[in-house]
Amino acid sequence: MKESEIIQKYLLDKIQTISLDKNGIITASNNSLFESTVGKDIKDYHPFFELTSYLFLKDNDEITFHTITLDFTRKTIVSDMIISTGNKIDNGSIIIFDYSEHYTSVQEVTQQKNEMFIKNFFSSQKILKAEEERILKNKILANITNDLKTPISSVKALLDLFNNNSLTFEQKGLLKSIQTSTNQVNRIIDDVLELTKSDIGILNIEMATFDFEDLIKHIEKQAQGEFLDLDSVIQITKSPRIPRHLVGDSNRILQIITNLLRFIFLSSPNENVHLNIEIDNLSPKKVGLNFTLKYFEKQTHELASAEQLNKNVLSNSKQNNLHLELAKNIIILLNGNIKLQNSQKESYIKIFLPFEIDVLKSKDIARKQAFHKIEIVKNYTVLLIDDIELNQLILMKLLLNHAGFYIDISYQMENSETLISKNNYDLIFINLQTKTLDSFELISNIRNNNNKTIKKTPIIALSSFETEIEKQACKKIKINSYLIKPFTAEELYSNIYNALKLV
Amino acid sequence: MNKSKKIVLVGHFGVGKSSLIRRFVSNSFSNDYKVTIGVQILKREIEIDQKKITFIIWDIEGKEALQEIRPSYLLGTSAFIYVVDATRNATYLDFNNEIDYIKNNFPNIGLVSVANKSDLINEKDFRAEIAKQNLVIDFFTSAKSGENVDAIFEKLAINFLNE
Repeated sequence: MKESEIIQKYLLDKIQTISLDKNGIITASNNSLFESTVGKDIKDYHPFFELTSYLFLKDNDEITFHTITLDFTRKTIVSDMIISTGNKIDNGSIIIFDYSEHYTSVQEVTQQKNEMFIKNFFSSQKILKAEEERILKNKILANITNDLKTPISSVKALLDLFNNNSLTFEQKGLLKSIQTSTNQVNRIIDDVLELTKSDIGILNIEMATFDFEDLIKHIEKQAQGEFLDLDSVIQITKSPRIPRHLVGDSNRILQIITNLLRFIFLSSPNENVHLNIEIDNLSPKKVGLNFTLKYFEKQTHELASAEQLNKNVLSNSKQNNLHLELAKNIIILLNGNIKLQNSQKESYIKIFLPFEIDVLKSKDIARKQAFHKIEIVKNYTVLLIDDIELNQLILMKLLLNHAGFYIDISYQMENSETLISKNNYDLIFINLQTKTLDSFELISNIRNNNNKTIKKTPIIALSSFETEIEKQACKKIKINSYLIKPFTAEELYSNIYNALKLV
Repeated sequence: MNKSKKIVLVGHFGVGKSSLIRRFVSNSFSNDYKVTIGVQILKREIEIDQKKITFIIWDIEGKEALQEIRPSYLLGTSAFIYVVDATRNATYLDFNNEIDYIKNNFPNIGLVSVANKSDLINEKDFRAEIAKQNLVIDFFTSAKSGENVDAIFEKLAINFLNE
């Protein structure tokens, strides 16, 4: 192609120049892009040119327009334009540059970008909505579970009272069955509550120094107590190199192991389980531990494949086992990980958990003292503030069984305050979930009382569930002790002894 | 006498500005989303009380902020139509600031606000949401069904004829 032809094709054929008078009447045009007839009004060709009426009011102005789409009957041009408005002597002009090819590619890229942006917006909206619904559902579930805790705790406490009475062998057997079932229901409620807490992000991890030997003993004790009836053997071994005093949440570790044992025994009750704890990595201040739960088949039964088990545990599938799901959530919160494996005869659950080593504080670890009942000579006056009759009955029974306590009961704010001011109680119990009064307000009023004896009255708070907010609030208003239901008689008495400074 | 007025549609991309104009000018609608590059200009004449008015409608490429629009596109504008997508809150998160920008920089120019795609939302919930955010939206439209589309231009026409 000759140079003149190239210039014509790629330059001149892409540019149209139009001359106009002040009224927008065409005086000349090269017609490269579209036919425009001399003598006609430019506004007749495209609505864009209606703008000339406005622009031509000003003389000697030059305005550039970019990316103007001109739709004509036969073709569409995407163009840039320069409009010169001229003056009384010189005509105005419009120069149109056809950049259709360039703008078409820009359009394609922008189309993809915008479509992706909109798609992402709706995807994230869907995720957000699902997350909101899940949190709401779990909040409802958490509330229902909390409501279930009170009656179950009461039944459990009442059954414990029965133990002290003389029962026939058959009655004792029946009582044990009821206790086992109640404990099971209570555990399920605790697990659901923990699971909902972890899902809505309020599962607390309390890091503290603990004795690893004690933890092993707790695990053994818990396993023996809970799985004693099963025809199974639980063996625990550990590396002697594991440092004794570690920093972590020992209660949560106990919870993990207990939930995994529940999972194993629920899916196959006749398993023998071997828990082995080994060091994964060790430095002067840190240690990573591998907990391996190996379970053997005593009887031939169908086991899900490791792949399936992994899938069940590690995904959010609806069929997830509650115990596994809870264990998994706590492990994640403790920055650990969990894996499941199985071969033909053995299956494994492997957990990794990181800890810090507490060398300095190891000697100061408080050890739990064995419980010894104290004979109370003096009679103590106790006020119980609780609006649930069953709770009142249980606490009364437990205190009467111990002897040495006179009990008043109240559940109204005014009445409670009158009783407190008149009787100078030795001890006050308050159920924090009392619906007929604001328990925190009442405690605050006691602590701010002008009477120094009332002000210093020991207070034991009772609660159906433990939350960090509630615990902090209790600390702030100087509660002497905080008991989570269900509690044993021994736990109750120990708390009373401490509050009354009998030990 | 036939009046000719330049109307500029502004708002985020994908809110349905081009669809509103297609519905108004050619009474048509397509579910396909086609990005507008630069500006497209369409024209329609309407008659109110036996008086004719011609709208020269500039459908400008969607931008998140009005400051991003080329100033040349706004020359000679008689009114703005600010369009949001009722199904996407991202398109009206900065609504009040954008409206203030128009009022401050173009004080003598008409302004109508429109929430498009109203056929896809629960109007009661949407009204509650915009009330909570103190947003004043003049028209709830659907380019798909045509609901309220003509009403926007009728309102503008009445305003222009009363000038």
